[in-house]
This record gives sequence, structure tokens and C-alpha cells, in this order.
Amino acid sequence: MDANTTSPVAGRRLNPFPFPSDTTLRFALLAIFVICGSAALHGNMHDISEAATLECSREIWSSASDEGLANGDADAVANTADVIVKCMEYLRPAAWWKIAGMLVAVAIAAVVYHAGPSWIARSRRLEPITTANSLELEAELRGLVATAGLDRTPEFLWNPLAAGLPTVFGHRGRFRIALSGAFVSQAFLGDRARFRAIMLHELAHIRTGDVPKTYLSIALLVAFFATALLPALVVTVGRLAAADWAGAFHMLFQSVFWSVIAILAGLSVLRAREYYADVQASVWQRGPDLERMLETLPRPSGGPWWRYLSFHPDPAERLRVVGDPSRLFGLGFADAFGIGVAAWLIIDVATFVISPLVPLQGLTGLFVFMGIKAILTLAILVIAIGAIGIGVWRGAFAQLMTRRSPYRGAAGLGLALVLGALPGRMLVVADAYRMSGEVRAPLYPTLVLTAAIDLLLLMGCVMIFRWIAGTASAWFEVVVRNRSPQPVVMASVGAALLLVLGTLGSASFAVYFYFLAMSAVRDLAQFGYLAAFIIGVPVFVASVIAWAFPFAAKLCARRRRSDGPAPWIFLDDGGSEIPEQAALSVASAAVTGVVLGLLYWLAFELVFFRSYLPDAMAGAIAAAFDAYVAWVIGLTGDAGVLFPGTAAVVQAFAAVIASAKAVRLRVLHGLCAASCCGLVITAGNILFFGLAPPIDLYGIAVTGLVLLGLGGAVALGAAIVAAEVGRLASRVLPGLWVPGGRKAWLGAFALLVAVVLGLMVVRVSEHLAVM
Amino acid sequence: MDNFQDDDLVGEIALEVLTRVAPQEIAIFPAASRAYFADKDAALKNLRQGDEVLGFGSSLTVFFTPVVLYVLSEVVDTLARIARKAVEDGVSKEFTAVLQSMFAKFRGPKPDGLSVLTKEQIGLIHAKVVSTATRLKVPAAEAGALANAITAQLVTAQK
Repeated sequence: MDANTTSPVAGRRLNPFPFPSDTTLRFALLAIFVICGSAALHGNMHDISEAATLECSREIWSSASDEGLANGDADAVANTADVIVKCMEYLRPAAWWKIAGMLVAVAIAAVVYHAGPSWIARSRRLEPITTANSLELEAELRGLVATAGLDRTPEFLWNPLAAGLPTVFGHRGRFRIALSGAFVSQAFLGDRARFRAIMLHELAHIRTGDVPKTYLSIALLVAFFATALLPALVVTVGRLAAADWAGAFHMLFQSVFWSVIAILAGLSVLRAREYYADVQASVWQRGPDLERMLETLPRPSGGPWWRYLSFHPDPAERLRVVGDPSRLFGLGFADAFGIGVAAWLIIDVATFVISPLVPLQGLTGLFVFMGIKAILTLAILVIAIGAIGIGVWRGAFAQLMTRRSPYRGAAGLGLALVLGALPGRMLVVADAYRMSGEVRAPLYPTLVLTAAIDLLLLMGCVMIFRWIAGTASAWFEVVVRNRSPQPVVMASVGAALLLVLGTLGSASFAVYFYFLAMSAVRDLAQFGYLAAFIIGVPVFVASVIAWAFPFAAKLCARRRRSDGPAPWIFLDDGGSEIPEQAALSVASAAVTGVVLGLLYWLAFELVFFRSYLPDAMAGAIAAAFDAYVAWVIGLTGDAGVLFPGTAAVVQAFAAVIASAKAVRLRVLHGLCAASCCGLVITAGNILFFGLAPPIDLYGIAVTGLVLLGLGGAVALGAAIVAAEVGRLASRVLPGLWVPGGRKAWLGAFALLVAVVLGLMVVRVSEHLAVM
Repeated sequence: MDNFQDDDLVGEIALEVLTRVAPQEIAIFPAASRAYFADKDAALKNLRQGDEVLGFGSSLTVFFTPVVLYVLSEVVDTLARIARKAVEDGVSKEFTAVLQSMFAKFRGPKPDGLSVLTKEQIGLIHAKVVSTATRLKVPAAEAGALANAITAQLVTAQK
């Protein structure tokens, strides 16, 4: 939960219920932890201390640390392939153990969940309520159920001798609420307002749908402790008895690690549900009763870390959330970190569950293994980023409603996701240390490579989460008039995932390409050209999606402008204004891009048609062009960079200018300008060179992809830098970047179009004359 | 020797005690006492378990009904031993009469028997009630009030 939000606009409380809740997210994390933990512990229960297996593991770590592998050396790759294939055979029994562990845990959890309600009713001796005031109590409960607007009335039971507070349990369609004699006598008969406040809180658990998640969480924890932790501890004792100190320590370490993670996740589910129930109950019963109840709750006595170990949230925070539910919108650092931990652990566990079961052979085996790992990593990271993305969108929405920057906290969530890799890395290093035995294979090169990948991932996550926040800002005006925010949230996150898939897919392909082709392509410039060609399409498509999706909101917003704010936005009735967003200057960005594209061609047309100009001018142009070409060759050593390099620089300029001119969503404006500029340059290239006979369609496509891909990549960096500089400048010197001179821009644009297109027509007519 | 059990006597005295210490619990007393006498061990277990994990997050004040029933069961057992000894010593012929004579509730304007309880014995019972209630996690002030309410039901021997 974000601790930095403030009260919503105009004092009305934001409604958190149309958005996916933290309870659901945390429950999903718990399920993942329990399943992965069960797999990991069962995998470790299988005796892998056989000499051949240990030797194999040592070889893996030795070959992974081989610098030849990092350089794509064919012998090193083949050697690693042989080692991995050999080891997979040894690891196959452990993989079966892991699968069995997961299945047993899930089966036991299902049994516990389904048997739970009957067991609770029996063990707590619950019975139908009979008191001297039964009729009055029944009428009161009926009234509360009507207030809660539940489809089905839950079954009310009690234990007249019990002393606890009410709890709701059961399955969907048959919920039950257990009351106690103490509660009936002290609250219903002694303090009716307290009775209503607490009962509405329990009914709110049914309304928010968290009861099945709560009891499934408990069932999962029970299953984990019974089927994984307990046997693991028995195995630990067995290894101690056999004087296998390393094996025992490893098992104990894994047991503690997974238990801590599972417990923390389970407790976080229990705490999250209380916030939502409090807020829901406060909607049904306006007034001080709920606040009074919360104020009387005992304050936590431990330090700040204690809150992660408690069943209930801090009452003070519960009070704050009831007063300002926008605090539930922002995803907390701990949640994002938890998602990161889950993602990396799943990748690790799943890879070593699936890979040994796939028949592998030689170098093909290595690529199958790498392919499985890449696909799993991609799929799981996409899910993790999607989960955090929903939180980012939610948080950005609340920030916009409170007139704050939507980007607030987005970068921190990216950091949290990447930091989540650390616990998984700890396990890998512990495994490596244990397996490497006396050899103690040097892990340094592997760790450096991993750190580099993490750094790239961090940059990617920060960008993608900021993009989601920016998209929320762009679609804000549409969303606040929609019946539900979910379609736009899901579409935004879907588009983000498309971007992530494109980026990671291209990166994975580039790595494969590196391994496959590096032995043949030793020239770095050639490799860069090939890489630019390969990733040209995804980069261009990604940069277009990146600005087109958010800016599409402008079209929808125009149509929906007459509609009033949607009723779902606020929890409470009463009028309230929605904060206005500054206008998007999409047309201005597009014009900027087109103008820069045309300027690019104007420059080359001047070179090409200089013979039609006065001699002095033609000479000056030729001299300038020659000097420029010499400078490019001197800089890059390759004249082939001249056109694509210049095009990329011009696109970057377009991005910088558009970013600087934009009032908000600066990077997206910059990307828009760069894409438009790239399209003009590519179209011009086709007209100017592509139509020269004989027409080479393949060459046209390759050049276009290089122009667009390279330009898009360079423009992205330029737009980000320009946006940051613009942001700082607008803070230091407010009013510096005021967009203006629209008429002047349009006039200059029209003149430029006329000149460039005129010269294009001349060039095309020359082609036609030759044909 | 088996513990003396007289559920009706315990129930009747418990209702008197509750009237003094927790009158709001009287409405649920019939159901609570029925559940208590049906399974005393389970009732004691209920006293010690709450719903802290999944409930609202707070706790209720002392729930006297099961405590009173449990404590009174022990008190009546103690009183029964005293009454039995009195019968053996020939102070009275009828055990039930001796036992009932110890409670103010059963003594009419003209009591047909004299209580055999001494002030010292009532003091011991007071201390025992406080001790048992405290063991059941009843706060000291409430335990003292409960002990006072129970001993107020007892009648000392008149000289």
C-alpha cells in the first residue's frame, strides 16, 4: 500500500472496488509460493548426493563460468551443451519428485478447503441461534443482510459459550457467520451500534469476495506445512543422523526460506482483506460507529517489521484507509517485491521441472533447454509485469484524482520487481556452492552477466511502468466517463505486455542470433547492422504502439466529452468535479516529425539537385556534403552509416523538439514525432531511391526497416532525455516550454512540403524517363 | 472421591451471580448453560480460544457465563464435601438440606436448617474463586467482583 497518497479530490472518497484488489494479488502470490516451495522441498528430498550427480553439477558451474561461453566460442558452447544434456538425465528423478510435491500440496489444499466449513462448524460447536431475544436478533440480522445487498442470506450460527468475535466462513453460495455468546450478549444486547458495525464488516467480507481466498490461503498453508515442510524436517533429521551436514543444512535452509515466504504471503492476504472489508462496511453504515470500533482496537506493540507478522493491519492505518481509500490504489514496494520474488522462483523451479523431462541431445539439447528457459522466463515475467502494471494503473488513477503526478512510485516498483530476483539468486548461489564441492567453480563471471541482465531489465521495467502510468493519464478523461475502468486498464496492461513481449522476444532472438551467428560474423559493425535489421520491425512497431495507444484516447475523449463522470468513481454520493488534464498536442508532435523528415529530404535534395543551383551555391553544398561524409566515415569507419545514421539523428531531433514542446506525456509526444519523421524519411527513400530501376523490393524493405528500427531506438533515448530535461527546466524556469506560434508552424510546414514534394516529383519523373 | 455434580443447583446459583456481575448475559444463559452442561470439557476449551485471526481484530470484555458456571461447579463441589462431612459428624441428617442451607437463595424467611459454613471457609472459597478465575484469564478486578458475588450467595453458620 502506498503510504504517500493524500485525501481524494473535493473530500470524496475514491472507490477501490472496480479495480482488481490487493487481496487477489496476494492470494495469487501465496498460491505460487506454496506450489513452488512444495516443488523445491520435494526436489531436495530426492537424494542428489550421488557422486555422478555432484560431479555433473560441478561441471555445469565450471562451464557456466567459462569465458569462452560468454564470447560465443563454438567449443565452449558444444561443451556446455554436452554437460547440460548429461546433467538433465541425472536431474530427471528430482523433477518427478518436484511434480509429485506440487500435486500432493494442491490435492491436500483442495481437500482442506472443501472440508473446512464442516470442520469449523463441528469443532467450534456451532448451532442455530436460540436466545430469549431470538426474534429480535433475527430481525436485526435480516436488516443488516438487506443493507449489505447480498444475493443470498448467509447462515447465522453461534456457540453460546464462545467468547470470540464473529467470523465468516464457507463456500460461495453457502456462507456462514459464526457468532459467540459473548458477542451476542455484549454487542447485540449491550452495544447495538458496535454489533452493527462488526456484523457489517463481516458481511463486507462476503460482498468483496475475499472469503474463499482467505480459506484457500489457509488451506494452502496447511497443505504446505503438512506435505512439504514436515517431511523436509524429517529428511533434515535423517541427514543429520547420517552425518550429511551439508545436505542437512541445505534442506534446513530451504525449509526456513520457503516457510518464511509462505507465512509472510499468507499473513499479507489476511491483512489486505481487512482494509477492503472496512471500506465496504463504511459505505453501508456512514457515521462514527466503525471509526469508534477501529479506534478501540489494540495498537501493535512491535517495531515497524512487526506489521508484516501480524494477522490484522495497524488499526491506525485501517482508520486512515476508511477515511481515504485512495491509499488502497497504489501498489506497495513490498507487494511488487513479492511479485518479483514469486516470478523468479517460478522461473527457477519451472525450468528445472520441465527441462529434465524433455529429451535432449547435443547442441540441439542446449537450445531446447535455453528455449524452454527463455519461453518460461518470458511468460512469467509478462505475468509479473502485468500484475504490477495493474497496480501502477490503479495508483496513477488515484494520483490523477488527487492532482499529483501519475508517475509517482512507478520507478520504485520496477526496482522492487528486479530486486525480487535476489532471494532466487541466493538459492542458486547456495546450490552452486554446495554442488561445486571442492572445485568451488568461480561464480564471478556468471554473477556479472546476471547483474548486467538485471540492470537492463530494471531499465525496461522502469520504462514500461512509467509508460503504463502515462497511458493512465492519457486515458483518464475517457475512463472517468466509462461504466467501468477495467476495459481500459486491461487494454493498457495488454498493450504494455505486447511491448514487453516484443522487447524481450527481440532480446532473446538477438542472444540466440549471437550464439548462432557470432562465429561467422566477427565484425561488430556488421553484427550491429544485422541486429538493427532484425529488431527493426519490433522496435518500430513498439514505438508506434507506445504513442498510438495512449493518444487514441484523444479520439474517444472527444466523443465522450458530453457525458458526466461515471458513478463508480466515488464511494459516497454528492457532486464533485474531476480534475482537468492539460491538452495533448498530438497534432503538433506529428507535424514536428513530418517537418523534420521533410527537412532531412530537403538537405539531400539540395545535394542531389545542386547542379540546378547557381555555381557558387552548388559548390558550397558539395563541399559541405563532402565534409559531412568524410566526418561520418572518420567517426564510424563506414560510409553505409551515412543515410540511416543521419535519419536516426533527425528522428532523435524530432523527438527532442516534440518532447520539449509537450506539456505532459513528453516522451510519448517525442516518440510520435520520431515515428512520423521516420515514416516520411522511409517514404522519401522509396520515392527517391527505391523506384530507380531495376526495382529491388527486398532492398527497399531492408533499408526501410533499418531506417525505422534504428531511428526508433535512438529516438526513444533522445525523447526520454529531452523529457527529463524539459521536466527539470519547467521546474527551474516555469513557462519556458510554452507551445505557441501555431500559425507560423503551419505556414513553415506548408512551404517545406511544397518544396520537398516538388523536388520529389522531379526525381520520380527522372526514374520514369529512364524506364 | 468423584466430584459432586448438581447441574440444577449450579445453574440456579449461576443465574443469581450473573444478575449481579453481568446482567446482559442473562438472555443467553439458558442456551449457554445447556451447552456447558452438555460438554464441560469442550466448554472450558471454548473459554481459552478466541477468533483473533479472522475476526474484526478486537477482543470482547470478560464473558462471565462459562466462567461462572465453571467456578461454581468447583465451589459446589467444595461445599458438597463440607456438607458431607457435616452429615458424617451428625450435624444434620440430610445432605441436600445441608448443602442448600449454605445458599441464601434457598433460605426462606424461616430457614429449616442452619448453614454449617464458617467465615474462614467462605474466605477460602473467595480465594479459590479468585484463583480459578485468574487462571481462566479473567482480569483481577473482575475476578474479585466474581468472588464477591459468589460468596454473597453463601450463608455463614449463625450462632
